[in-house]
Amino acid sequence: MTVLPYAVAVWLLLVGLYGVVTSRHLVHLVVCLAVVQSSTYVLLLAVGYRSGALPPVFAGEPAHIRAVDPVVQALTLTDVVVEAAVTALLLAIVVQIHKRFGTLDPDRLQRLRR
Amino acid sequence: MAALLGWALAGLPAFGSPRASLGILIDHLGPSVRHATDMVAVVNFDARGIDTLAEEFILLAAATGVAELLRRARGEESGPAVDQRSEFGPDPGSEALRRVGPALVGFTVLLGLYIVAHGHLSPGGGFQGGVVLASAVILVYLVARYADLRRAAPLPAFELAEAAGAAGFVVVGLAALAGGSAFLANVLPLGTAGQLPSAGTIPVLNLAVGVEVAGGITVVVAEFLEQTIVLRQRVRGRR
Amino acid sequence: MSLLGPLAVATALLGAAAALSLSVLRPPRIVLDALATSCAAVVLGLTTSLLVASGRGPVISWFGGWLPRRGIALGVDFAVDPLGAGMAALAAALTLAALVFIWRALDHAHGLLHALLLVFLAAMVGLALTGDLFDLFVFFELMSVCAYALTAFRIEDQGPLQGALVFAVTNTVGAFLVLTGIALLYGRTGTLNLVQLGMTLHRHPHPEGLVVVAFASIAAGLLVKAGVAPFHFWVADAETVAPTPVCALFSGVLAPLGLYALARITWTVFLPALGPRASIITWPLLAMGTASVVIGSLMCWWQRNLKRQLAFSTVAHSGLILLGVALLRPVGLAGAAVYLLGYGLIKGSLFLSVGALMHRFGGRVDEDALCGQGRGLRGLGVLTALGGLGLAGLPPFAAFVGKSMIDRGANGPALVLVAAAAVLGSVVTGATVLRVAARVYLGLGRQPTGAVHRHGSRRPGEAEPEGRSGPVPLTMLVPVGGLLLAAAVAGVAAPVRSGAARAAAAVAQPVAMAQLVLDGRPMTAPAITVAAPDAADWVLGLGSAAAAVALAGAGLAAAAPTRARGSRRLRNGLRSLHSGHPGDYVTWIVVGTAALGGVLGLGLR
Repeated sequence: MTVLPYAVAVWLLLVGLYGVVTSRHLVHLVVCLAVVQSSTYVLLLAVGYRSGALPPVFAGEPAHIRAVDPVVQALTLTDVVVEAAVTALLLAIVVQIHKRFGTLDPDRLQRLRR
Repeated sequence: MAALLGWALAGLPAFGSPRASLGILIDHLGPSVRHATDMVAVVNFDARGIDTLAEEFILLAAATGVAELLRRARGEESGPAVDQRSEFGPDPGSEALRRVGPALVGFTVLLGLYIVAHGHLSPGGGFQGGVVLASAVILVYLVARYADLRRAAPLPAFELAEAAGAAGFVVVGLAALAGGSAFLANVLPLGTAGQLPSAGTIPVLNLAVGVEVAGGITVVVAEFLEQTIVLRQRVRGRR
Repeated sequence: MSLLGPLAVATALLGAAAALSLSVLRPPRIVLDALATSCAAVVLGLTTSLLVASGRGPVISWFGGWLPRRGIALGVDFAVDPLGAGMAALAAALTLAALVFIWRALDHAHGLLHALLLVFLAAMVGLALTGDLFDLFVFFELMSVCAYALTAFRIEDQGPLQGALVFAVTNTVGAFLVLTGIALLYGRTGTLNLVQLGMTLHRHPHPEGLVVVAFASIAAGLLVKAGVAPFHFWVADAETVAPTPVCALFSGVLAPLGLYALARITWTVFLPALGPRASIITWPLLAMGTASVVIGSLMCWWQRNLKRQLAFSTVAHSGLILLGVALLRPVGLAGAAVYLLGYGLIKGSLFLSVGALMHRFGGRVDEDALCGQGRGLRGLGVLTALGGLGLAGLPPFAAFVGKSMIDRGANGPALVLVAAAAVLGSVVTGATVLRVAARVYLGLGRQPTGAVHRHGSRRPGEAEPEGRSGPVPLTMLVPVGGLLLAAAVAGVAAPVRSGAARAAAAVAQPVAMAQLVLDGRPMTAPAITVAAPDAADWVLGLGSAAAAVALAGAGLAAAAPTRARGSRRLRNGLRSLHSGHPGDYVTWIVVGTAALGGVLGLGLR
């Protein structure tokens, strides 16, 4: 079904967002954020796919072979790195929060604040 | 929200037949213009090299932030808090790990270097290879004691590597400027497609990124490791 | 092909890498300060030259030498017009000021802080100059990651972690919204170059659903960064707790860059795409802008924490700038740009002055705790008061000029709304600053009770913060005063106004821009003249300033915080919304995005 990749992307996005909003554990929240970002990878790659095409690696083949779009792959690669970096930073913050406040539940954290 | 996205997606060309002119052009031009065989690398390190430059700095900034955060929390900014004599490592119970591990480390390093070096020829490149290299370092932790790891691979060396890799990328770009062309232009000899030394600056940039990523990821993992160990030490000390 | 743009970015990045490498050796602090400051100064010089050069016509640089072929963009470009160059120069100026400021402050900072600030600068400059949508996104993310790291910097306090977490979560959600929009647009058009996107969509506008949703997605993501309601909740939490010089950058450049990116993308991509239907964008954006102004101003006035006040005034002023952008007229855009320039400089100055206060008084930021403490610091007090008046729209600061231009861009009901909102926002936020200045530096107004006076806003059990005696160090005063001076000069200098107008006119000519960028055909920018602020504007400006003073006085005179029941309920209600809970904030983002998309979609029918 040709709609499936797009549906998957939308699903990931919505599920991830739902997870972020309702999360009761900060590490879970960070992982849900990663899920949300994954939805964009799926969307990007789906956008660049060509039916029956080869990967854009031409080991000695002539250049007029049908190949998949390399730009979206490059974009996805960039996004993965960005996401990894942000996730690392977020987790470091979460580690600190646990150290300071002793809890990782966003609801309880809120009550501690004011 | 779902409805909106569905509406939007309906506006896309059918799956499998993109209208993507940019991608098609790169596929056509890449091999002849750059003598590379991996088009994704051409995009990442040549046509859109500036994006990759920013991207590796994102990793640098994040690693720096992580290092800053976790170190300050431990109350020290210089030097490790972990006792050099500490016995901390994973449960040395797995015999298989202890036998196979050290051999795997060497292999992993080799694999990482291979991936970095062949980025312009086959899927892979600086980022992927750099992560593999970093995992080799983590493998050392898994099979040995943490103190051994610290001795064998001091953290400042990795920070330096990270910064040097990032700087290297910029320098290559600037070097192109010195030669009279645009920033990040591909100015080295292009060679023959399919061979290791080809595609001009692409493998050089791959190398710079590989160094930077290996350094950055190692710093991040090491900081988290150190945090865990300090916590464990405290717990055990209390008992 | 010009090298100035790429050089500016490269210099900042190289400086950062150098600072990071050096920090491994633990050199004396002065070395790092010298390195970072000189690097920032070089970038400032480069961006200013770029600003001058772009006055003659947009400056295009193609990275890697990948020039367009047959009108199709292959590589990434910097397409610099005075608007972009101005933003870049603003970023460099504020970073330089912050770097000078921290010579004395933040004693525990090592190379990591300097490196992060320089990467931050590189990202801001890159964002301002780029002509490619994905490149914009990458620099946007680079800017964000540096911002998260910088916010979490001072972790002795309990505050920063919460602020950093909320900041990172909400802005990451915003970033992925932008990316989703980018993926949609690329799938549709096959290009990432801004002008090319505009042209391609212009030729093939149907089906429009994708365009509208992509716009909603991208706009929502950028408005999160800009701090516009209902995406603004993170601003207060993050700016309250980040190191103060960093806040100066957040408020002065980070948030404005979100608006800048929105303006550029709207004009270059979406106006050609939507054609005559483009006006459906105006009213939703005006609504959000007005909401930001109202919420931001009210919350600002009700705060006691100095940094939180300034944070909420960021929200208010972002709303104001959005109003100028939303009008979709070149004059409005030019006005927004000039206003942004003046406001950014003034805000930077105000944050730095708060930082100086905190440095002097050991980190106290509570208005009550600081009451009367600043009696000896005349110079700082005067500069703060001037800043407050500048916020309120006092001529000849650039904010005043910008506002007059924005007013000119509107007519009919929009004009009433814009003018009223502008006045409300600037008066209330300016009055807050004036009220604070009067209390802190002159000791006027309600005296706090003894307990509050001693302990300020610290929770019981926290250690007594260290204060310092003596006058405010020169390295702090100079940036504070210098930025204010720049804001005044920018207001007076006619080239600023005309340059902005010319740039806005060029932006409003997407076809010509596309030809310039893709085919190299030089464009003749049409001349739109924007008259200097006239008498009506002067009256409005002086009146706003006077109103701010009056309001501040009323605020001082209030004997105790007794307020009518209704206003107290409103106040508590608004306060509880700003809960600090990341899940709540993200909910607002989703709701806001969906609402925006829905409204736009309905507008298409």
